[in-house]
Amino acid sequence: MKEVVKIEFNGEEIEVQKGATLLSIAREKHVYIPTLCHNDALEPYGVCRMCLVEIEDRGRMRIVTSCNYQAKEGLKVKTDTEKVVSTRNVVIELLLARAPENEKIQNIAEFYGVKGGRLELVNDECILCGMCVRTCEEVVGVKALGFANRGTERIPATPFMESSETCIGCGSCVYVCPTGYIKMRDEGGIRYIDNWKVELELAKCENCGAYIAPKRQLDYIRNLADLPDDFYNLCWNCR
Amino acid sequence: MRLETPNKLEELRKSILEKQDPEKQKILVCGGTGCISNGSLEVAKAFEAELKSQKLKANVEVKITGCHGFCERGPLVVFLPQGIFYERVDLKGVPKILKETLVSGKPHDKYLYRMTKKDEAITKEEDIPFYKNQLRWVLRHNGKIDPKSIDEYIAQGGYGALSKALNGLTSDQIIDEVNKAGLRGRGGGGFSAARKWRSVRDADGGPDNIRYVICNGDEGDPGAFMDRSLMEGDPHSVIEGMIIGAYAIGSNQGYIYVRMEYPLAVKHLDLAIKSARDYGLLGENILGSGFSFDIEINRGGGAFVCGESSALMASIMGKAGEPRAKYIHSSEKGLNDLPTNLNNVETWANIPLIINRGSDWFSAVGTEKSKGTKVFSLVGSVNNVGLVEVPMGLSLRKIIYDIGGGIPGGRKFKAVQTGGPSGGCIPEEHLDKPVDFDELTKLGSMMGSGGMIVMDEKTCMVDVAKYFINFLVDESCGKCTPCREGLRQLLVILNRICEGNGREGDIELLKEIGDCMTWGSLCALGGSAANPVLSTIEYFRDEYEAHIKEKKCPAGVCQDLITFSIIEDDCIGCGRCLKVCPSSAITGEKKKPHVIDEKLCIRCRACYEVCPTDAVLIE
Repeated sequence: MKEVVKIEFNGEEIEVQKGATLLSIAREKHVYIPTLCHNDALEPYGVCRMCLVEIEDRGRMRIVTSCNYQAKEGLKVKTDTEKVVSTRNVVIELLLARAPENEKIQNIAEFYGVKGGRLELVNDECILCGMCVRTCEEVVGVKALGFANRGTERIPATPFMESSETCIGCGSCVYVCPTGYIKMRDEGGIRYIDNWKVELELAKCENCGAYIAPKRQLDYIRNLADLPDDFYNLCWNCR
Repeated sequence: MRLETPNKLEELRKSILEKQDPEKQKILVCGGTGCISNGSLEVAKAFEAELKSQKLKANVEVKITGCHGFCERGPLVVFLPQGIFYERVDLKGVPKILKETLVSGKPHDKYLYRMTKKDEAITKEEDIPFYKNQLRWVLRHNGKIDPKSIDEYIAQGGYGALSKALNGLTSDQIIDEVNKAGLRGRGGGGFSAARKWRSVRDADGGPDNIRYVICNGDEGDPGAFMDRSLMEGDPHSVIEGMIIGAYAIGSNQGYIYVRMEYPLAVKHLDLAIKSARDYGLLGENILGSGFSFDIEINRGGGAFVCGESSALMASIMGKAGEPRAKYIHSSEKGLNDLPTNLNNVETWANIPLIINRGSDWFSAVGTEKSKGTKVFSLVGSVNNVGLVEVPMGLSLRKIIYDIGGGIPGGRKFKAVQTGGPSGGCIPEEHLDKPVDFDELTKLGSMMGSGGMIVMDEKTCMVDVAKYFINFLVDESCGKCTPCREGLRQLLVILNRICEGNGREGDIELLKEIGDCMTWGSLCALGGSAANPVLSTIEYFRDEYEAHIKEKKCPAGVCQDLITFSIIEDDCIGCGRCLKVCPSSAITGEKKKPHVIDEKLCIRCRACYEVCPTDAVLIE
């Protein structure tokens, strides 16, 4: 059984499991904390800095990300202090300048009453949450993606920006991307993910002729699960 | 030859000392990077050749040492045992210096130190103000010994502290001693070294009980060269400190992370590690104690952010050098997710001193909460540029004026920036504050690793903030929003202020973004990156306002906000400005006042620099 610790959460003393993230505790207490780079299927990353909370630990006050800060005995947590609000509002404003057209960020900005207009627009659809890179590594296990460059030049990319030889075209990165920056399309039996310069041939159902998935993805799964070579010859409807 | 026991080390020390003749004539030539680039190695060769031709070779030893610190005056040469200090020695001076010093027995006046040309010459190193006011503990061997020779280090008592620690001191005793000494991390954070050591020692080292120690030699601040000089000039003191630390912590593997841009440091460290291994001071069963430890060198690719401890560890592991959130400390999960103790070069070099001389001796120097000395690289608008080591608590004024010799050209002091690019700028009113970890933080700056950049009245503080933010925009890893996007926006705003397009409210906006970065960034780089902006706003707000409201740069630096004209009464019509002007904006007859056509002027400052009568006015 896991160790239980006492913490103070927004003034209320509660018992939680030691090591539970402050974000998970907030959600249990139905306290809304915005996130952009968090996904329960992924390791906490702590880079969008949207989920900031204020803590007091042994008399020292700090602003930390709730997605990866873990509960420990005696910790005091506040989710809506003046410092949290002012810091988070500038983070929102910075992201709004980076991706002004992004609906998700627009919604958060509206919710917190943050207006744009003071900062130079960057107009980059990608907010560098790293969800694509981390999903490809942690969930799919393919590790086709990483980050290239540093600072303001940072971008998610394939090695040397070349067409990825390891990408299986599964589309998980497209699915998790919160801004629609990663684009995928199937055309004429080919799956295109332009961001990664990927063009993969799609496998056809032997029965009805419908496209199933990229051949490379099916190979990858057959290999991973040790399935027979003809395992994916039929589409989901014809099975 | 392996030294199997502590006694063997003492025997070796004795035999080295017996062979040394303290009265032997020595010529010490500085082999620090600064002096090398001024030609010191050629000077050393010239001394060798000249000794041969003057038939003095047999009795004289020419030695290339580590950095002496007074880089401004290089190449530096010291004659021992006389203690005569020569500066700016060139090839032409070598024969005369040799002849006068060694044959006539008196110093050669021309190359002796003078504060300015008009001042009296000073013969001995210890009488020169630059050295006189320093307390050289960590730099005790720099400039004295040949860093390539382990024997010279041993002759100075080297590895004695290690021997003492391995044979008679327990882990607790060592950590207690470091604790009582009050040693705080010299890399900038100022965290208690003993506390870090203890938590790493007590952390769970996994099934194989592994712990690591790391030396952070990724000194990336512009203008800083403390750690470089130590690694180049006295590598064994760093290595000895690491072995003692590893023994106390219970680690068998260490890493030194050095920048690629420090080839001489890498070379000297590499050589030092090899010779320490040959003597059995690194490797299995050190001095017969049963304790084993070895060190590997990792060369960094030159990313500033890799000086941040978690990014540095990622880099050693072969990953991209990016910090991670350190809510779980490196002392529990660092390199390879195992307990890791990282200290800076200078911190490690302090350890042998503390073990040898004791914590009482060490803590007698310094302030209440900052003990011992600190090495600074004193650069910028100061007469004596170089590496200085002072007791903690000395005032900024003493460092800049007594050691640094004040501001050149009779100009007025304006600010000093401490702590590297993310440090803050401290104005004149705080010059008498003691320099220690906590005071500098209170002033909105930081100790950092010890960079100290002096600025005079001709420096525009908005331009300074812009310069450092520009540096940090390139060096931020870009992982978290406040640092990446915050720096980008700070630079946009600072650029427009310097171009004369600053808006009402820009100062508040800078402060808001800066605060967000300070509180909300993922690592210490982002957390301190706004300091140059926040501290210049705090102390020099009127300069920002002059840029924004009056569209003027009071220091006359920002190109878009200044105009050049010639003061008629002061111009002697010499024509020098007319000749250097690249845009033919200056006209005038010989011996009559010249005129600048503002429309053609590209504000390059060339006329200002050449005018012999200071007749060019910048407004």
